[in-house]
Amino acid sequence: MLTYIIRRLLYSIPVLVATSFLIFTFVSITGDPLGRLRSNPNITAEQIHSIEHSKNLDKPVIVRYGYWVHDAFTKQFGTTLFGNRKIWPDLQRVIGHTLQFILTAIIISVILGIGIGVYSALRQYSLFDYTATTLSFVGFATPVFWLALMLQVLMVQIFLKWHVRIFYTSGLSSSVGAGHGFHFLLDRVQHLALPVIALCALSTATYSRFMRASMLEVLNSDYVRTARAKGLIERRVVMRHAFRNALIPLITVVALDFGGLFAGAIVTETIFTLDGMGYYFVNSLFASDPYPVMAWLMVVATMVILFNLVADILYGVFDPRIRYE
Amino acid sequence: MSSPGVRDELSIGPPGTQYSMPPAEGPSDPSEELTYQYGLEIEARSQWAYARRRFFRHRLALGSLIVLLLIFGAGLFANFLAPYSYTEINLDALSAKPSLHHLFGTDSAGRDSLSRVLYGIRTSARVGVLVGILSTVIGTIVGGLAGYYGGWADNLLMRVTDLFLTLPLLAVLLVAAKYLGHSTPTKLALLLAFLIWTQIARIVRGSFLSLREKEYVEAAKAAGAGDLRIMLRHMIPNTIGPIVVSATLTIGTAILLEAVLSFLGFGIEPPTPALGALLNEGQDQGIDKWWLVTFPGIVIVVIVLCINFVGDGLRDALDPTQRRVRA
Amino acid sequence: MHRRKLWLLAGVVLAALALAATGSARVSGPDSASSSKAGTLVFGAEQGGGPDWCLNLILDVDCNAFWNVVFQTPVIRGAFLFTPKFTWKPDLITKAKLQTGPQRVTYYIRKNAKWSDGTPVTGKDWKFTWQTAINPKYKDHIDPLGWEDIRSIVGSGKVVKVTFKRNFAGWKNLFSYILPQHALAGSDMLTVWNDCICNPKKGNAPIGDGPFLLTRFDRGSGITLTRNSHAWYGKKAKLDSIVFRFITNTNSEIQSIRSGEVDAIYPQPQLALADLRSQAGLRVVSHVGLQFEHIEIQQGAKGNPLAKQLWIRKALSQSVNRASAAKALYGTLNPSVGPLGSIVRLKGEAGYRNDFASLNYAPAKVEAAMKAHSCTKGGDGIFTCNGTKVAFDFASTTGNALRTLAFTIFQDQAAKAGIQLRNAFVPAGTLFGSKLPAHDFDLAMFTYLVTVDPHYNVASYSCGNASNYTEYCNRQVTKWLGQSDRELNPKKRLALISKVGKQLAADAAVIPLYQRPTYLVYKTSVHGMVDNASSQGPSFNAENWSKG
Repeated sequence: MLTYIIRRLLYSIPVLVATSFLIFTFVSITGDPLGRLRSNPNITAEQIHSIEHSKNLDKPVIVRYGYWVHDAFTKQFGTTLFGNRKIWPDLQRVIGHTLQFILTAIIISVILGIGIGVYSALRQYSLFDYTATTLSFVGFATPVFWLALMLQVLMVQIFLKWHVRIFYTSGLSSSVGAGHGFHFLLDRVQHLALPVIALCALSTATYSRFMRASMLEVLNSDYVRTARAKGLIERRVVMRHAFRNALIPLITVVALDFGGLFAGAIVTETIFTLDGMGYYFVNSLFASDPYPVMAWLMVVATMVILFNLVADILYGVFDPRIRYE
Repeated sequence: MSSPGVRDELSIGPPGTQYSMPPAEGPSDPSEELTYQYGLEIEARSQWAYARRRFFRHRLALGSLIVLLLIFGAGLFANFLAPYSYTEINLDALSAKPSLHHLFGTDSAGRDSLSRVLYGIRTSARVGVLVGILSTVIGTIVGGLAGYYGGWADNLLMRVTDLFLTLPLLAVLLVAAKYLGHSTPTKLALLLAFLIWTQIARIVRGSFLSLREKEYVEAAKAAGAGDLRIMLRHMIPNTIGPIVVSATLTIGTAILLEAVLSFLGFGIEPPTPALGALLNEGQDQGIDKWWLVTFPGIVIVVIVLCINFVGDGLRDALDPTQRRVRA
Repeated sequence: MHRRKLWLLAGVVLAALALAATGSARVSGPDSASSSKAGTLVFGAEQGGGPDWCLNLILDVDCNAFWNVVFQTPVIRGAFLFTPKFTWKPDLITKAKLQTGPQRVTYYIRKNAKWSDGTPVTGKDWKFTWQTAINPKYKDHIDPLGWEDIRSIVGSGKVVKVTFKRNFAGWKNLFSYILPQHALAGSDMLTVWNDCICNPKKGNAPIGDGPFLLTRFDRGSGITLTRNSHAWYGKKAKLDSIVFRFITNTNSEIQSIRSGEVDAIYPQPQLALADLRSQAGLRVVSHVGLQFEHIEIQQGAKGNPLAKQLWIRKALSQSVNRASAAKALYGTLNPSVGPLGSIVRLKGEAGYRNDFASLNYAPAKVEAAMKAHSCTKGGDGIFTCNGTKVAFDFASTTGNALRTLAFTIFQDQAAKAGIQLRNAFVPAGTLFGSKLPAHDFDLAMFTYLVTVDPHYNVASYSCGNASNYTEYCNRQVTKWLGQSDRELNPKKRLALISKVGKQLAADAAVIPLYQRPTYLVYKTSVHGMVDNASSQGPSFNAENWSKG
C-alpha cells in the first residue's frame, strides 16, 4: 500500500510540472497585462517599455517560467504584477472563503443525495422515484449560472412583494470584514445560502442518481438475496449489508466531483461576487497576471490529486476485493 | 433473459459510471431462423435488432429522441422556418415583448428572437455534434491504444489523461478561450473536444484491457491477424455500446459548456447566434426582459434533457447487464 | 427505519432554513439590512478590491482607476475639485494666482485646512508631492506629465509658489492628490499605502484631510470610510460611515439595489438598468459624462488603402446614423444622449461646437460620391472602386453588449448605403495592447476617458505621436496642438483647440459617436447625493450625504 501511495505521488509530479508549464505559457502569451496602460494617452511609449523591462515581460516565455518556478519556491508564489502584493496571504484568505461554501455544498448534497438515492432505490417506480429522477435530469441539464440568476431574481421578487429578506443576493457578509458571534454567523449563512443552493443542485442530482444505481445493484446482488433467504429482517438487510456496500463507490464520485465543484465555484462566485478562489482566479485571468493564476492552479491541482488519492485509498480500505500493489 | 412484458426503467447512474460489456449473442428469434436458412451471418444483426427493440420500449428515451429530432430539425431548416433573418435589425421595435409579429419578442437591436433561437439551435447542435464525434475519435484512439498495448504505453497515456483531469475543466477552458477570444463554432468545437475526450478514453481502455484476454482475440492472433485488424474487427464492435452512449452524453455536455463560456465572455463570435450567447445577451438586458433569457434557457434545458434521456435509453439498450429487475 | 431517518434529515434541514428565515426577518426589514446603524450608507462599487488593487493614487500607472478616485475623494483632497458643471473649484486652497513669463502659480492654502492629526496642510506637502512625482525611483509608476515642467516650489506655510520651467497649460490638473509630508517622508510609495491610507509613523493610524477617513480595506469585500471627527476645513460629515461594497457583476448590482441591500450604485450604463427607473423607492439620475465613444480610421499602410482618400472617410461618416445608434443604446437610460458633434470638446463643456454637422447620416450623398468616383455596385449591394471593394474591418472590444449592439446597427446601415463593415472584434487587451499601437486595423471603435483639460487631444492627433494610432498627419493641426499645451490664457487656448476641432472635421480623421451617460441610482431615503459626471465622481460632496 505504501509503495502504491508513493508511486502515485511520484507520478503526480511530472503531471504538475507539465500542467504548470502549459498554463503559464497560455496565460503569458494570450494576454497583455499592460493593456489598460496603453489605452491611457498620457503614458508614453518609453514608460511602457521601461515597465516591460522591469517586470521581465520582454523576455521569452521559458525564461519567465523559470523565474516563476524560482519565485514559487522561494517567495511563496511571489507577488502580483501591479501593486506588488504578496500572493500567498491573499490566496489563504480566499481559500478559506471558498472552502466554507464548497464544503457546505458537498455536505448538504451528500446528505440529500444519499437520502434521495436510497429512498428512490427502496421505493422503485413510485411517484417519489419518478419525481426525483425527473428533477435530477433537469438538474443535469440546467446551466449553473442560469440557476444562480433565477435564484437572485426570485429573492428580489420575494423582497419586493412581501418585504422579507430571506437570503442575500451578493457578497459574503453585510458588514465588511471579519466578525464574530451568532449574528455574524447567521448573516454569513444568509449570504452563502444562494451560492450553496446553486452549487448543490447539480451535485445532489449526481449523487442521488449514483446512490440509487449503486443501491439497486447491491439490493439485487447475491449476498443480499442470501441474507433475505436466511430470514433477516428487511431493515437489517438494508442497513447492515446493502447500504454500507452501496456507499463505497460514492466516495470515488464525491472525490472526483471535488474538481468540478471548484469549476462551479468560479461561476457562482462571479455572479454573487464572493471573495473566493474562483473570483480571484477570474480577476487575475482577466488582468493577464500569470502569477496569481499559477498559484491558484497549483493549489487546486494539488488538492484534486490528493483527493483522488485519498478516494482510491478509501475505496481500497472499504472494499477488500481491491488490492493495490 | 428478457420477458416481453417487463417495462424498462431508468436504471442509470450519472454520466461517468463505468460500464460492463454487452453480450456477444442475443436470444433466438423467428427472423434469425430465416437468416440461418439463407446462410447469412446472424451475430451482429441480432445484437442490433435486440438493442433497437429494447430502446423503443424505453418510452421516455423514445419520446426524447423524437423531441430532439424535432428541435434539431427546426435548427437545420432554420432558413425556411425562421420568419426573419437573424441579422435583420428593426430600430422601431427594440426589446419588444412577445407578440404576434414576434413570437419570442425582439432583442436590443430589434432582431427577432424566434429566428435567432432557431439559428442558435443550429449552431449549438453543430458544435455539440462536432465535439461528440471528435472527442469520441480521439478518446477511442487513445484509450484503445492504452488498453490494447498496456505496459508503458498505457502508463504514459493514462498520465496524460490525468493531466487533463487534474484541473477543473472550466479553468482550463477559460485560459484557452482567452487565447482564442471570440471564435467560430468550429474552433470552439475543436477546443472543447480536445479537452473532454478523457472520459471516453477511460471507458475504451477499460474495455480493451478486459477484451484483450478473450479467447477469440487469442485465436485471431494465432491466425496471424495484425494488431490493427484485431482492434477494428473484434474489440471496437464489442465496445460500441458504451462508446455510443458516451458520445451522446458528450453532445449535451458540449452544449452546456458553450453556454457557460458564452456567459463568461468567450463564446461564439457575434453575429452568429448560439444558444449560450443568446442567453448571455439576454441577461445583459436585464431580467425584466424575461423573454430574452427564458426562451434560450428553456431550449438549452430541453435539448440537454432529451440528450440525457436518449443516452439513458441507449445505455439500457446496449448494456443489458445493467438492467434492473424488480426485486 | 430508513424513512424515519429521511424525515429526520428533512426536518433538520428545514429547521435550519426556518431559523435563517426568521432570523433574517427579525434582523432585516427593508432598510435596516443594509445598515444596522442609522448613520451608515452602503454604496455598491462596480470596480475595486481585486488582488492587485492599490490605494496610493500618486502612482498613476498602478493604481489610477475611476473608483479609486471615488473611494478617496472624501479622504485625501487636492488643490482643485471638478464640479458637476465641468469646472474647477478651489478645494484645499482659497485661490490660485497665475502669472506668466515664466509661468508661476501661487496657491493660497486655506487657513483651516489640516490633517486629521492636527498638522496643518502646508507648502511642505506640496513640495513633497512634487518630489515624489519626479523621484526617479518611481519613474515606471508615475506619469511625469506636468510635474517635470516644474522648476521649484517655495513656501512651507500657507502660501506656496510653484515656478515652471516651461509653460504647462494643464497646471490645474496637478496637485489633485496631496500627500502628507509629515507622515510619508522616507516611506516607500510602492508599499506604504497599499492597504490603507494611514500614517506609518503612528502605527498605521488612518490619516486624511477630508470629511472621512479610510479605516478599513477588506480586499474582495469592501472599503469602509468613517467620519473624520477631527476638524477638516469643511462641514462635519452627516453620516457616521460609508461602506463601499464591491459588486462587480452588473446583474448582482441591479439585484442588490432593488432588494435594498445597498443604498446607492453608480454603474456603467447597461441596457439592463432601464428597469430601475420604474421601481418605487429609487431615484435615478443621469447626465452626459466625460467619456466618449468614437471610431478611428486608419490612414497608414496597414489600413484599407481606400481610407487614405478624404471622400471615402466622409462617406463612411455619412453612411452611419449616429443619432439612431445613440437612441438605441442609451434612449432608455438617458434620452438626452445624442450624437457628439466634436472630437475636441464635449457637450456641456465650454467651447463645444458641432463641427461634424456636415457629416451626419446621408446615404444619398454616399451614393452620389460613389458614383462621382466611378464606383460600381456589386450584386450584394456593396460598391467597388477601381477594383477594390469598399469593405472595412471594424475592430472593437469583445464582451461589451453596447458596443456589439452599436456595431450591429452600423453594419446594417452601412450595408444599405453600399459599404461593408466586417466584424473584427478582439479582446480589450489585444485591441489596446497590439492592434492599436501597431496601427493594425481599418476602423476601431473605443472610448476615451478624458479630463476637463483638453490636453488629451495632443497625443492623439499630433503627427508622429506614439498615441496617434491613425497616422493622421496635418502639420498645421500639430502646430496648433503644441501651442495649446503651452498657452496659459484660457481663451486663447480654447480658440486654438476650436481650430483643431474644425480641421479634424474637415479632414474626417475620426468619427465621434456619443458621450456615455452616467447613471446614479439611490434610495429615496438618501439625501444630498449629487451626480458628478466628470472624472471626480459622485463622492465629491460626501459630507452632505445623509440617510432617512
